[in-house]
Amino acid sequence: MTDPRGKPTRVGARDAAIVVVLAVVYFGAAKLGLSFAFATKQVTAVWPPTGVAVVALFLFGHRVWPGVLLGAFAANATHGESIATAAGIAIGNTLGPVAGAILLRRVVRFDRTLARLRDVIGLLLGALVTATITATNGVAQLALGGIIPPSAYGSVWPVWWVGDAMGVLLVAPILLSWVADRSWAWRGWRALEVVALFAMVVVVCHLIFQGSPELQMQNAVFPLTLWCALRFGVRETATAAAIISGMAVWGTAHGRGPFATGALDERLVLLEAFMTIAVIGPLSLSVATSERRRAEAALQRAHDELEQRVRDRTAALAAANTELAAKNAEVEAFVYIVSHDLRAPLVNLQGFAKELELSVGELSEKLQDAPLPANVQRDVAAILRDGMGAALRFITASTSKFERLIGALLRLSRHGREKYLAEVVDVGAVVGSTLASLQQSIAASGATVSVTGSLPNALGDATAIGQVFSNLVENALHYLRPGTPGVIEIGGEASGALAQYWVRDNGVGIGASAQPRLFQVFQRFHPHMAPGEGMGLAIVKRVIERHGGEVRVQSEEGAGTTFHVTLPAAAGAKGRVDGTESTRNDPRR
Amino acid sequence: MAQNQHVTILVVDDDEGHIELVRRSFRRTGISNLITSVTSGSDALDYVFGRGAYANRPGTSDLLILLDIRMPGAYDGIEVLRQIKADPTTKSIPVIMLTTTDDPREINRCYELGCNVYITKPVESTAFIEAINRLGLLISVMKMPTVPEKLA
Repeated sequence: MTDPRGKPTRVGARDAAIVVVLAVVYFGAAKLGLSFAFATKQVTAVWPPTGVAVVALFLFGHRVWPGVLLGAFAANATHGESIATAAGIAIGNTLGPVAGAILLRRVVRFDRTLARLRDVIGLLLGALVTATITATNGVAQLALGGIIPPSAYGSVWPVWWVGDAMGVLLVAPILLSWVADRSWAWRGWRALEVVALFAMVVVVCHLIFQGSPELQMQNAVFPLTLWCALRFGVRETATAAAIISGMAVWGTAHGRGPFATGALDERLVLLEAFMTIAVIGPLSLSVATSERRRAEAALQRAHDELEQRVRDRTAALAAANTELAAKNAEVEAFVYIVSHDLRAPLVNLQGFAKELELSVGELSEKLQDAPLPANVQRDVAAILRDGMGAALRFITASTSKFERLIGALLRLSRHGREKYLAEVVDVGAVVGSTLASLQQSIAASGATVSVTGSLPNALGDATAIGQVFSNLVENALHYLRPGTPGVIEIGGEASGALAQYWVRDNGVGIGASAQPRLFQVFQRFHPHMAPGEGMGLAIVKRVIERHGGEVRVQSEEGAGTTFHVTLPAAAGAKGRVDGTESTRNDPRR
Repeated sequence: MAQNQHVTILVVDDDEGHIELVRRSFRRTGISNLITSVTSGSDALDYVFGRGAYANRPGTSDLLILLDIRMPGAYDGIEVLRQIKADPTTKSIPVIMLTTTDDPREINRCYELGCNVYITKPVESTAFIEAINRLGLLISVMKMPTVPEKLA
């Protein structure tokens, strides 16, 4: 597309060239139009130069108006008009298109590709405005020049008006659509189709408009224009409409075809009506179709884009998941290796501490029989007992604690790695055997442990679930309030796809500030109350979450704690084994 | 361990402390067998198959191996066990896995490969010593197979 606002230094020369070319084209189009004349010499059924003028003024800006003026003047002057009449008509024929182009540009905000239906309507509007000016002026000039009697003004004006309007409606869509898209984009069958279509248009139009006036077959063109509008674009439709109109006018002007009978006015009205329908109808349909096609394409693009985005996101998520799983496995492996490698030196510490202890014992025995002064005997015995003995006890206690911490880490890592069964678990039975194995601790604590009602079955791994209840009950036993008889209650209920359980105690409770850290490893809130590594609840959380359940705590300091646990319900679920191996260790803690 | 007096005990462990603890415990239990030790899997294999540095070792008729699993280098305990149990001339040597690992998968793997006893090195207080002591008793009553005089 040529930019109407070229580089400033070249504007003059370029505009001059456009003006000259425009004048020549206008002149040629006028001569073509005059060959269609059949009312008076100056009044034609179609006046193509007006369309040329509107398009040129729209594309290049109204500063190229001298081209229109020159062309119009030359066309009329060479057609036998007086200079004055020719000049007068030329002024009107320039002003009309200028007004039409301004209207298109400013009011309609016309899209030159005729992309929207409003562009077609805008073009129609531009044609009406242009034609009103040119006809009003032109017919007046004819009357002033004595070419028509003033009384004929009323009858000639509509003919001029329709001719100019048709000129715009026929020419502008062709020019604009071919300027916008000059590609010859038909391939294969589609090329064949377009050739066949236009061949049929020409043949049918020839048969109709070169045929006998009695043969009222003009409506036979509409299936072709519909075909064109629905299957091809605005460009092809505008071209077909122009061919049809041109051949209709040509035939009518030469006394042939369906519009060649009857009074001149009547013929003209029928012809113009036919042409208007033949142009505006298919053009609107074509634009609407392209509009819909574009909307569909945009929708498809949006859809594809969305799908692509979903695919991208899914892929990203999967990658993140894989990465996370890999990281997780890495951490587990790390914990595992570290736990074992840390154990090796511990074996030495503990072992040699024991050796030292034995040696100290032997030394003490030997000392008793040694012939040493009493004060030396006493001092050495004190060193052996209080110095070395105490140190050894600290070493032993510390290594034992170290060992317990490592063991706890190892258990936690194992709970992350081992495969779980997914089978129907009779949680009531699991809790029963858990409580049985805790019998000693329960008796020692003096607490009452009871199961309220019957516990719903769950879907999962019986051993792991037993571990959960064992940890929760042990936890409750450890943190009972001194002086208050311990009451520990276990309950549960099925709730849709979930089985819910709770373990409630009346123990010391957990402060609100501590609750967020409750399920983290090595967290101990009442270390003086019970031995342990702060791993029990971390394991509970891990086991429950690996089952796809949830664990949460409800607690008030000094009043007691309730742990709520959800697991997948087993209602109606058939037991199945998930995973190929079961590498569980014994559930000792 | 009167009946098994001729058995040499080979302790394979990258931690010399562990070897020393084993040695002391055995002595305390009254095991007076020859106790020899290597600190890597490849040395263990060389010893067992009489290669490399041990090509000219005195022919020990009977051998009992205490084998650690986690050892650095190309041959860990599992691989040493596999090679010993894969060779018909050495497969009847009793192997006792003695490690810090109590991972059930690793234990299973060792039994699958043909280890005879699996003992987790305990740290708790006297547990390790006790375990070694029990092991000593076990060895003393164990019926040792007769291994061909000339190996490999």
